[in-house]
Amino acid sequence: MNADKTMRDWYVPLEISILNTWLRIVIVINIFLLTFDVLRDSGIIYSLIGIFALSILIISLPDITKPWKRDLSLVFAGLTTIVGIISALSQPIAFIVWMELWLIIPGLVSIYWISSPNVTEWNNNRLTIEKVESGLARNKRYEVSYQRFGKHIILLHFAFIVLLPVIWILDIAFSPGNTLGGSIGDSFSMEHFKKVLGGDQFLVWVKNSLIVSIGTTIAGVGLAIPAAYGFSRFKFSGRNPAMFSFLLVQMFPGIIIIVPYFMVMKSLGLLDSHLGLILAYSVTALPLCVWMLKGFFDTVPIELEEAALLDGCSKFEIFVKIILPLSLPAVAVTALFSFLAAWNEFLLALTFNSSNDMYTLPVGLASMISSTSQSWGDFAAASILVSIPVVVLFIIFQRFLIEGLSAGGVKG
Amino acid sequence: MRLRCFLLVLLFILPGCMGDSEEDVKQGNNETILLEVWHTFTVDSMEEEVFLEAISDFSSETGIEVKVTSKPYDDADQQFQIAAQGGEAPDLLRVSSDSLGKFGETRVDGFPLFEDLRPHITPAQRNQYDPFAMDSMRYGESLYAIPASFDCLSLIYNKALFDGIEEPNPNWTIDDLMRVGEQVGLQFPVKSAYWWLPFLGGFGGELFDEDGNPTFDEGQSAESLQWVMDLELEHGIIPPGTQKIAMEDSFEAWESGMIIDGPWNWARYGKGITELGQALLPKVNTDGEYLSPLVAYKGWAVSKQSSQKVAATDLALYLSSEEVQKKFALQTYTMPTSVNLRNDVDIQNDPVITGFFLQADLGTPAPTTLGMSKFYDVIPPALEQVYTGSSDAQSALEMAKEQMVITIQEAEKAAPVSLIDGYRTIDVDFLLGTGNHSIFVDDVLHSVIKKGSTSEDVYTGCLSSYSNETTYQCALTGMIPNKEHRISVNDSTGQIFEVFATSGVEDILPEKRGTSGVLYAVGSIVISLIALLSFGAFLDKKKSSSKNAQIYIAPALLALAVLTFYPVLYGFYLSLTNASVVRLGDETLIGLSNFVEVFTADGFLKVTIFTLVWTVSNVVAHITIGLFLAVILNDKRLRGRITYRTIMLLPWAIPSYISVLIWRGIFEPSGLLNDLLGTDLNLLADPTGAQVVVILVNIWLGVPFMMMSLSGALQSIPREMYEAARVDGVSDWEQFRHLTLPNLKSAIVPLSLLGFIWTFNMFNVIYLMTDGGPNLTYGPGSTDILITYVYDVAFIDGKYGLAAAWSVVIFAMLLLFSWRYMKQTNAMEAVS
Repeated sequence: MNADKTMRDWYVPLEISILNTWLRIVIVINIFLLTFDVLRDSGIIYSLIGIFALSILIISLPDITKPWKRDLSLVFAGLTTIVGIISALSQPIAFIVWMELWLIIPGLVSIYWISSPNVTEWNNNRLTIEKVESGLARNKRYEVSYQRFGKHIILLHFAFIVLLPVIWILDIAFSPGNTLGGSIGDSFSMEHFKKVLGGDQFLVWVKNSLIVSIGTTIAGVGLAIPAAYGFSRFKFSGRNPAMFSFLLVQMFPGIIIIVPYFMVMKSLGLLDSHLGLILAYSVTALPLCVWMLKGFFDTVPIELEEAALLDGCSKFEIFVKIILPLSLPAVAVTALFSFLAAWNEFLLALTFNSSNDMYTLPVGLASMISSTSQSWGDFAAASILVSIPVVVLFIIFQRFLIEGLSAGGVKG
Repeated sequence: MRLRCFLLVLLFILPGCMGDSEEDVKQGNNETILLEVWHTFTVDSMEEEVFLEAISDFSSETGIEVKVTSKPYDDADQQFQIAAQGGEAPDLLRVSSDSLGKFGETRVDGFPLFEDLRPHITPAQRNQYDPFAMDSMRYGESLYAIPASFDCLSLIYNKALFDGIEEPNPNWTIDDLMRVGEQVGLQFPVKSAYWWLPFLGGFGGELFDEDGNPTFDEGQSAESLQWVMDLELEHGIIPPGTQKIAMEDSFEAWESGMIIDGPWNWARYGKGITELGQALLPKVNTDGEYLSPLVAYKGWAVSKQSSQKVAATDLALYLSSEEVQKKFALQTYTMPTSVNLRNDVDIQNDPVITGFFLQADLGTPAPTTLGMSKFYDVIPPALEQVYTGSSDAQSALEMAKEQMVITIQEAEKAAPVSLIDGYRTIDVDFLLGTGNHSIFVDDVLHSVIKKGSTSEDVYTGCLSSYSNETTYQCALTGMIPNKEHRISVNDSTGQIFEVFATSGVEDILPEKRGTSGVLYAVGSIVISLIALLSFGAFLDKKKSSSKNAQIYIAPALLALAVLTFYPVLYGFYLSLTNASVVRLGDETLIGLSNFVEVFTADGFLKVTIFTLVWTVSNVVAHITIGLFLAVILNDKRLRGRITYRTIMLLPWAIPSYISVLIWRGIFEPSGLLNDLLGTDLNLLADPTGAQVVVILVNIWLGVPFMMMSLSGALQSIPREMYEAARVDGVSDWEQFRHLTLPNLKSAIVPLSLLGFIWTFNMFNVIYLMTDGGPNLTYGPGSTDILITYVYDVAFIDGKYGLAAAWSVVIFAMLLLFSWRYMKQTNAMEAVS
């Protein structure tokens, strides 16, 4: 009997626990949204009332020991909804409506859930032990899908913010003319893509960028892996200064020392060459690659290596057959990083190359814009084309991000 | 083993590379001449096409090979300076008269950047160009370029929108402009100095007096500024916050009927507007002055380092020749500077070109003085103050003038340069005959001496010339070294003098700075590094736990050392010197005085604080949001997760240049933000608003990287741990706190540290969004962080030593922070 009572006390319907978590998030979001009210200088009072109502709603969420709280929470859920609706009606523009939905929808869902039979019965403390059990089972069944639903809402918002400028760029690229602003989707034209792809320069830039970026990826990751392994596995003299020196060189503002850098490249005969850029970019990418990989290698249990050593594997074999496969996610990330570091870099590529045949994409793109004649359409189209290889590459790398063998590997 | 081999290979390659570079690739004399040209035309534009045609015509006519490189317009000047310091400057560069003030005060190893072209061209050649254009290519005494084109603002309007409106006509006034503006719309950026200048001139104001002292606060200057600002602030004729891009867009889209703009956009507008008109800018009042736009010139300059100056000058002259200018004018509306072209039939038949000629006649040629080169840096805070109403026009301009006086006084002047006596000149001395005299060199007209003119100045006559009653002595310019020239003089009666003469004086090139010094430095860095590593290995010989560890890290460390140690050390050295743009390569050690200047600088605290705010808020946001997204997306069964991840990657994948510009557009008064909110905010003009905006945009840019990295790191956490936690009924939040976070530490610590360093030194975003502005006062602007401020110190003020000292301070701050942070987090520990 006691056990039953504990179980009954312990059981909370899914609706309540989800409201408990998500309403908090909603409050945070509404506090964020206050910024817009301040910017607009209106509607602040509504939002404050809304946030207040939401706070009371959370505090008064039904509780098995205090059944009266349910009515209170219903009142405040209603208040939240009404405030939202009034505020939205007072200024029915899309953005405001969206803002107020953050009050209306939580309010409505709260009313619906709190007044649902499940919660009512539980709140009135009339649950049989069977009901509690089936409730628990129900909780388990639906919890994940409710969570996923919430995740989708969050992710959609993030995706919207991310895509906002991207849509703009697409619109510029696909519109005739060279306007940078304008309204979205009013006209369509492929002229910019035709022009960019038709120019004899663009493909040269693509070729150079590919050579340099792939070279950087190989060189950067190739140099970083052994170094990171060394830092992760050995304690040796000069280790800390060496590790620190990777960071040191990134601390000095690069633009100030571009001339001595130029002199070094000139002295080594690396100006106007792919190799020069590959080396320069690898060195730029090294600190992150080394530190990132080192952190990852640290998480691979050393016992694995010891076991393999006993089995007669050489150090090199251990590295290639055990450590590396286990670290694929980190290798993928560092490879992507090295690739992009080279793909998007502008200043060094411009400074170290003095012939158009050696220009990489960012430099080529920049020469499409001059202070007097801006062909934004071509520029946007080129930007889109530039991003495509990165997206493709990323989709390939995704596999490794997901398939880091992690647990399975360690177990084996 | 393999690593050791790699090391050995590296060691063998290095000296090999070094050996190669000693050979000089460029060779002169008997072989075909190769000229290197940097141009700044937009790639794939009509201008570039005409230019490339001209180059290939030149090559086929003269047999001189020309290598053409395009440099982005905004970077070309700085790139040229870098290349010149490295001894790799191209022979020819397209320069703007705006930059000449700066170039004129630049010395590399004691030499100016450009060749003084006075001895290179003959008076006859000089006379082909508009005297104003010629003057605009001068700095001080020297002539640094051959003028090829000019441009100035004028009124461009869309005739289709002018139904029933009488204006614009040649007698209209600025009141008419305002009235018509109300009807059809008028666009130009009121906060831009360049657009204010026509009004300043029209109201009778002047930028500088004859001695180069600033006078832009005198007379009716303040009225003119207020009048311009009121168009937007008071009358609302110009939409709030109009910037250059917005103005072009709105005119192109038929949203406004008038724009004050230059000829460079004519072709662009012509595509969408069938009846495009050009008109003179109005008068101030019916019997007053016309508005007087600044006329700026572009020309071709020859590098001081060019070993082929004769050929390079020929090319410069060819690119500025009547023939080429005509093509440029007719095909691209590039306004010509050639005197003859003004009377050319084809040119005269083009109403746009003649319209701009008339406009330029009313304009003010841009002075190429030190003051003018500083003008665009000094004036913005004054305009910003008037715009925001924090000061009235008169006192704002007075403040700017004071600042200008100080700037001119404090600016370091470069050492004067002298011409090489006799280089490309031949002295002649003959008895004068009667009437005008024509001097021919190899049967080509060289110059004309008009009867009665006694003092010919060096720019219109020949060098160091004078005439008295009977004899004429002159150094004839434009001669070719070591070539015998036939020089003949005709007076009104016929030939009176003939001589065959040769000048053997050769060009003196700046001594090429050898690369051996750098090689020794790099070499000794590498050797000492190898020594250190070997020493470390020797010390560890007995420890089994660190066997050969140095070999693992050697390749990466060596690559790092070879390329980056020398520049950083050089940066430290520079901070102790008086390095400056007026004496590049000739700096001397001055101790710590640069550092004193850094720490006593007015804005030091302000800019440091904002840098910290900027860095901390960015890094915190990057990590928090990135981690949040990574965790959410780490759910294998979440539908569309690959799509989400790919979308989230986009800010990283798209070139930041364009996305930052788009964001700027979104936050501008006519942008999306105001459309959405139904407000008319101008966040970028407000100091705090601009700070928040730049931070938000950088957060947007930086989250994807953190998300990806942390997604990768999440894979290192064994899944069983989560399963176990779930069985134990641990809540999600607790799982995150006690399982996820501790396991991610090895990734988060270096990521946050590097994120801190990168963000601290993040240049692009602020440069592109606000360029450190809004600047209400002098010194660092509201959104300047240390790195953008250092950039200004180095590349606008030209104080490289001081900029290096700032850099060292940045370095020290980061070093201190990193060291503390790593101690705190034990990030350097190895797995034991």
